[in-house]
Amino acid sequence: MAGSRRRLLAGIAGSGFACLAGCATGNTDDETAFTVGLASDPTDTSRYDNWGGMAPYWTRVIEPLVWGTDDMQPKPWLATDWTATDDTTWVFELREGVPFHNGEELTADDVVHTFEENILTERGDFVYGWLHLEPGSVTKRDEYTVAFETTDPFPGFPGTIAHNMIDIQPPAADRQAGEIIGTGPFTLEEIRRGQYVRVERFADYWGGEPNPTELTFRAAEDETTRTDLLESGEVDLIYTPAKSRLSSLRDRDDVRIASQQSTGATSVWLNVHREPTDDVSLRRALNHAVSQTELVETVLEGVGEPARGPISTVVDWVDEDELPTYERDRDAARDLVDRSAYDGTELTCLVDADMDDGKLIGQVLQSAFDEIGVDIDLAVLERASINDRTERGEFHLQVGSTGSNSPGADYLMWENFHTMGIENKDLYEAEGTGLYNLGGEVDDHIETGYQARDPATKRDAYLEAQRTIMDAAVVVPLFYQAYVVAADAAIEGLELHPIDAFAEWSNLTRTADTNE
Amino acid sequence: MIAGLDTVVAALRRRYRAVRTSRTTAAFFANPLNGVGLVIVAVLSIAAVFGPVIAPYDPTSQDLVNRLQPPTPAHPMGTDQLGRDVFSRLLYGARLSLGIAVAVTAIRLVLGTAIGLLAGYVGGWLDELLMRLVDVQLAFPGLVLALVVAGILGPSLRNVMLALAVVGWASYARLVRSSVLSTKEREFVQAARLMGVSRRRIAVRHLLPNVVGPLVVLATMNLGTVILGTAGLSFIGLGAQPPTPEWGTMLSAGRHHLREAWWLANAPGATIMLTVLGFNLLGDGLRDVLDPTHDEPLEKSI
Repeated sequence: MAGSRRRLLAGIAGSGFACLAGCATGNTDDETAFTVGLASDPTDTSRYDNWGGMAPYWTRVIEPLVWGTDDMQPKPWLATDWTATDDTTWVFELREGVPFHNGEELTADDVVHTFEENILTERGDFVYGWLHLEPGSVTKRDEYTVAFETTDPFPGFPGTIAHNMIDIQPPAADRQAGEIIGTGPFTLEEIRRGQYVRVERFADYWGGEPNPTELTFRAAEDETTRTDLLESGEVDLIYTPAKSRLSSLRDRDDVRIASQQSTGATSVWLNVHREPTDDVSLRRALNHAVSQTELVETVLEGVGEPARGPISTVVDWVDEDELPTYERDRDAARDLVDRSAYDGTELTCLVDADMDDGKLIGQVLQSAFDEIGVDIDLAVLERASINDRTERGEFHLQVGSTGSNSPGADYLMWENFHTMGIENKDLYEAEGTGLYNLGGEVDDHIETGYQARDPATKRDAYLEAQRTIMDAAVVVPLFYQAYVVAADAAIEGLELHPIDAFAEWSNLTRTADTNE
Repeated sequence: MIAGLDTVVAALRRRYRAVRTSRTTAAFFANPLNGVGLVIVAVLSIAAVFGPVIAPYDPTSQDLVNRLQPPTPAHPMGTDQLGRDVFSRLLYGARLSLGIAVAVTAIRLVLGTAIGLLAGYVGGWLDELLMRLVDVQLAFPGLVLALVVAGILGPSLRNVMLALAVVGWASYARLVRSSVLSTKEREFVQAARLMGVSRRRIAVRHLLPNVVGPLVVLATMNLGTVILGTAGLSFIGLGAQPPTPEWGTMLSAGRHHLREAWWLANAPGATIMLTVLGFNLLGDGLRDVLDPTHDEPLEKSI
């Protein structure tokens, strides 16, 4: 009797574990179902960009009008064409015959509803400045034509709306209730808070039926846990495996590693309006103190590219060969320090506590700067504390990154380096200073690039601005970011994009022989 | 001069013999674990005091080419992610950890003793007020409260010390108060009072000495928990800032390399474990000799 009770309890426990495992990972027995381990929780409702309980990224349930090419150009998607009819008016032609997941066809009404209600009204001020639109600025011209009236001339508009957040949904979708209806290759089936989002194949997808029948996007924010999940076979593919285990993963036959340079770039940002980092000699000295190659090869385990400029080279108007170069030269750096106004005081360097490898990078920099006689104090702080310090300009250096989730990357120049950019504007208006803004000709070049419709003009203007910025050593470029995806070697057809959230899953397949 | 030195040496020898043969020493060493605790604490204290002399390398000196090297004769505990010698960092970390533990425990001891003495001796509404304060403090899980305090103050070792100090004094206050309540009614205290001895003198000369034994035991055991608390807060980023060689910070950094560089997390982890064990064993031993009638746990752990 006791034995049978034990067997019963064991059976219940076993079934419970099996159910839990099944719930957590989806149906992994299905050769056409895949589980993806993400570095951020796709169900995190505290995020500002979480649409109805599901992050708009990666899942490919919803789609924007414009997509991005691999070289970061706007690419027709739900819109097939667009034209600027005057300085502030953009007319978009919609793709005909695109079905939503509820069977309705995409029309201009859906686009107007999405922009006016879901984006401009619901999201408010923060999207006005980003998209250069205000409520009432999106109008229907005909069933498949929509006009956008921007608040000021904005040539970067098509690239800017090529963003997962600027997705089109019909009025029928009650997003607040978690009902998400899109046009993407996958339909939303289940959201389990803090655990996963499960989507299924949309057979009527306008771009052709995708291969996978089911995708599960699982939250696995700790890199070690994420890597363990891949190695144990609980997930098929993970973003950003633990760097410390990359070399062992590369040695394995049953794991495939792919990496892709992203739009991100990490630099040391120097406050040019605070003593002593307002001294260009000191800033150049700091540039001569660092070996980007060594940093990438050691701390980053080869993930990333040594940087010579502040913006990733995947952005089409960046050409680092045109920028001034600072090789590591400690003697030259010491001479520059001697010539500068630096008097040996300790400089404050902010590091975001959540930044990948931030503490290690900070310590490498601290040691490198110490070699040339510059003393820095690392302040590893939470994001809110860093914002507080930067808003008041109370720091000298900051280890930080900049990148874009859309092909419209003009704002990287404007927001960081223009006097009226978000980083500099408040301090400029309050004290006539800023953080990383040189003003004058840099502002002029950025304005020219920002308003240029001709790509060559844009490129020349931005390159000139970057040249001046690097000549004045406003940043110490460290590395252009890359992301790594590790997958079961049996999986084929993964297409990575410089914007990681633009990954294409439709062609995923699993080869049967490798899986056995 | 030499005769004077001989006198001192002879006195020391006599003292040593007296201690060695005393009942207290015998009681302490009757349990071998007490000796183990004493040895661990002694070794750690020596490492902390002479760390800079013993350490083979500068704890912050980086060697990126030789990063993540396994233990070798040159680096007995291997190197970390930036090629720093783990053994040297542990030695310097001992100074920090023990220093913080002593400072925090001293603050708790002084604060808690003063409050307990005041509450027990004065009594009345002041006793009620102070004891409710103690109740409130003990109602919070210590480490969680320390985490809140450290989170508000911002990440730094100084703030961790403050956070741990303000949450751990209540045990001392309660211990001292209960001892004072029973002692103040005894004849020698009454006699002193009748002789006109001042209240302050009675408190310091007659009441406090009676609680020294349990206090020493509590403080010793507290040292271990403070070290654990400091390491815990540093582990989650609220304590030491890089490149400070602090055990909790080292453990935190090493956890990402558990598979391919096991020594990174295990070296500080084992050191923390040994240190806490050492103080706990020593505390148990001291309790055996200083507070032999005690059979209840003295400490509310943080």
